[in-house]
Amino acid sequence: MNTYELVYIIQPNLDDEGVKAVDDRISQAIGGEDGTIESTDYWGKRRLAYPIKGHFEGHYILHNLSMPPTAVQNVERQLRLSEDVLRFLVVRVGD
Amino acid sequence: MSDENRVNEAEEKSEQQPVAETPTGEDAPVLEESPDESVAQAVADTDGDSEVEAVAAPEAEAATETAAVAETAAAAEPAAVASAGPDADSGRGEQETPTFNRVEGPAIFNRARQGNQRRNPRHVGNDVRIDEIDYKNIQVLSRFVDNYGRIHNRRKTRVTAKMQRKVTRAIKRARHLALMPYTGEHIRITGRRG
Repeated sequence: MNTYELVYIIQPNLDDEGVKAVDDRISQAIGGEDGTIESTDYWGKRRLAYPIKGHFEGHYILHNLSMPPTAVQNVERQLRLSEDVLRFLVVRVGD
Repeated sequence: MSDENRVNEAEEKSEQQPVAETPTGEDAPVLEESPDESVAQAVADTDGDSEVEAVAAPEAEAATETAAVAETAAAAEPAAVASAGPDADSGRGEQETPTFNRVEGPAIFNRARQGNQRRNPRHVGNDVRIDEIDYKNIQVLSRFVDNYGRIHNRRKTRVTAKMQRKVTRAIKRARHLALMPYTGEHIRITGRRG
């Protein structure tokens, strides 16, 4: 098990529930890969430094994860499949 | 939860950055709109507090700033003064001592946040600790970037090679997440640097 940080940006037109739904889907994908979410931080709707897919804002969500290295690929795949996710970043922490 | 604090901190700091050009309050409303989660609320709260400070601070700072410049007019060339702007912002509201007895030694003891002496604008990163370098810490990272969003070279930043690598990587990550601009065009479109 490694620890990772996952940040992703959800498109701004979704309301609280929409964001939550997307987040749940991602969380499930993580859980399905034997990963656990240590903590979650919602940064709110932030302005983007440059437009992504025509959006100037986005909901930022940060997860601190612990999951096996093999899970990263699948979680990333799930993020890529979700059209509401504009960007994501998975980084390993602790080194 | 220290992470979260750091992020919040970065948030409010980054709001102070554009103070020089435009009045603040660009970001704050956006945050207050955000959903009623406790985290978001906390962010909004701290922002509300810092906003007052932020508005009050720049004038005082600018005043002492110019005073300091006048005193050592011989040393200060125009270019240096201009680039001192973003650096000086990070110093929060404490009153500035325009004396030039600042220690060049271990950067740990020379935090701008506490002391807030005027930093040498040529040595952008000489008071940054290595554990502050994080792709989420936009307030610090934006000091390593010029007005077009380009990363300063080591001659300019005066940090160790190790640090420079960390900074570079962090900035690139921040760019990917649209926390920082890739190009001057991005700054033109959105009208901000951090």
